[in-house]
Amino acid sequence: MNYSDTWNRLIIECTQAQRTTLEGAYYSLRIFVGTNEMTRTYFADPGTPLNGVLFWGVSSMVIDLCSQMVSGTTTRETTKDGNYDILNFLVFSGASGVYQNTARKLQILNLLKPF
Amino acid sequence: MHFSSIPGVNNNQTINVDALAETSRTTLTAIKGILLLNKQSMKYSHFIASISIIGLSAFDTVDDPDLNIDNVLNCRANTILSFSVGGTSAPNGIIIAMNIRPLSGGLATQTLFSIRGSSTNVVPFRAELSDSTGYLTFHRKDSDGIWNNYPTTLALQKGKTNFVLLQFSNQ
Repeated sequence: MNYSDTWNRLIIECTQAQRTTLEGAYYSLRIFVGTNEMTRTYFADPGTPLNGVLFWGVSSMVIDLCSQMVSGTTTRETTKDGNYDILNFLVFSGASGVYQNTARKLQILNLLKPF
Repeated sequence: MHFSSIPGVNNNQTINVDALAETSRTTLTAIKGILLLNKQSMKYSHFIASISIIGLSAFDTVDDPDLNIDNVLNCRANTILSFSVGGTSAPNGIIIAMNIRPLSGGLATQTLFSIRGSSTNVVPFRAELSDSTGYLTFHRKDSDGIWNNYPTTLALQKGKTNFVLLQFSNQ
């Protein structure tokens, strides 16, 4: 997708991963910017697998955009305000992964070709 | 999330969010600015559950980001937008997608988003953008209470800055 200005298509994937030799919860993180993909970063939690949660201390989740709250309060963290524009914001909540369907993309491109 | 609000609804302070499940579709609400509690209710309330939220900033300038045409959210200094995903337990994964245009002249470290508990307001996860490099860094607090940092290696490109020259003359 092309935009007239410098827009970045950003996708963030953070989800459960599985490992066989070590104990504890395990997660992977990667981002996509435009058509570029970062290799996954893996990280573990020292907690037991049964207690493994990605977002510690969160039961009902709130997403804050543009800035963040000082943890434990409803006071905005004034030193980390954002300075950017966002559109087409999507959130998929739950353990899942990003799948690139290149075949589908090619089919769409074929439809755009002049006859 | 559609970054548009309606002046006649909640003092222009809320945004409708489409929430899709496997077999249903609902509409949730995101809030511009900081939630304000109804202090009169708090004063006479014996149960926290009965505190009513008048929600929303009292007027349109308290911590509110601007919503521009074409569903663009303008994140600037002194603004925040909060969206309660809800649920009874935090998910063990999340995928977030957006089109983003970083701008010049911001703070050195900027918040892209953060995850917060609605009842405790604990913030155990946040994504921050470096103004100078365009790189994102993710910060996660583990179960021992230790912060861990996960830098990324793909930079976000800044948008163009439009300069407007105004000339005033006294003729």
